[in-house]
Amino acid sequence: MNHDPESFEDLRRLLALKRHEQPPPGYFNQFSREVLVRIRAGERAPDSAVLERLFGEPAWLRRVWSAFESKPVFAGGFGFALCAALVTGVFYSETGESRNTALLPQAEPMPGAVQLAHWFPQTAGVGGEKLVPAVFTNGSLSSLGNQSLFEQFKNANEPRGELINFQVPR
Amino acid sequence: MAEAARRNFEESDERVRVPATPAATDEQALVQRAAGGDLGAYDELVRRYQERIYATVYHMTSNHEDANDLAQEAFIKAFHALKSFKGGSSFYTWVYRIAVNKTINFLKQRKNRSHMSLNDLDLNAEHDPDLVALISDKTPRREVGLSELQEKLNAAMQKLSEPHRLVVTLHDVQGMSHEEIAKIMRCNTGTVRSRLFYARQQLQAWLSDYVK
Repeated sequence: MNHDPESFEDLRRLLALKRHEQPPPGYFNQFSREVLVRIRAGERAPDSAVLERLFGEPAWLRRVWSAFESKPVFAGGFGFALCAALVTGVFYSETGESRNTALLPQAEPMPGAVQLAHWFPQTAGVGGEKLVPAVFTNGSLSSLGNQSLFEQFKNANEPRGELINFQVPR
Repeated sequence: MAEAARRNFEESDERVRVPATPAATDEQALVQRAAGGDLGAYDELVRRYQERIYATVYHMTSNHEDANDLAQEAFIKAFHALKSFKGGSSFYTWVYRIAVNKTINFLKQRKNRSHMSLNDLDLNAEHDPDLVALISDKTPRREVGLSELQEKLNAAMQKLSEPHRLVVTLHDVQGMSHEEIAKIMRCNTGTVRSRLFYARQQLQAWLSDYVK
């Protein structure tokens, strides 16, 4: 190990180079103004300060964020887990829906509907044709039975028209 | 013997000095006015120290954008903490300490992604006698040599631990005394001297192609 004091002379000369590294021209003319603008902006937003005081700083969020910043593998793992959860959710909704549909009874009239027909015989139509009161047994579900969750949402937002025949008893 | 040699060197090493801290007379008044919410007074304080604070943070990070953010945040934090400033040290030392702590915390977080964004060298660099002497020995192409040296030097600085980098920055680049550095780092001058010696040894080893 060289302890000769003179041995650092060149290093000191070299370090002098760093004094010549200067920010862009005019940078310091704006610096204090920007600081004051940020201070004023902070004063104008007391709501967030009040919330921060009430609920405290979200330290856990900062820790998570710091962990993501310092170890990108965490961020990658988190992203992967989110994607996996999304894909699993979509897959499950596809298979789960078809399984549920298979388990549903196929358009059997509810017992209540039969009772209604019994109680309202005046619903018999012209020419002896008997009219059975219309019973909606969760029509929207039965009509969307084989569709995935996303298709159901899509269809629910689309306007639908249905042709209805009315028979008026005379 | 080695220790004595090191001390002699350190004592004869006080060539570069920062200008004395601005007179404390009106500084105290400015601090009091700023603590009362007078932004004009705080603007004056920021203007006094902005270059030195920025330079310290910049030399620690080797990144202009980070230095800009951190230096601004240090002044903003200092403004909000002015009411708790007891005046045990000068405002200058106090705000320096805030900036240094902020920078060290930031560097700990970004450890794995150090990206240099270096400022340009000013025109005086080409005429600096120290650099002219240094470069003319090493490379005939002065301009290329300067930017190459700048990059190598910054890369070597980034290899130092934060406390060692800070001591080299404050002493060898900014010309602070050991006592001032000790106040900022809240340690004794012996620690400052030994850190400086170790840091220089490290730098000298890493930059052996450029220094004897």
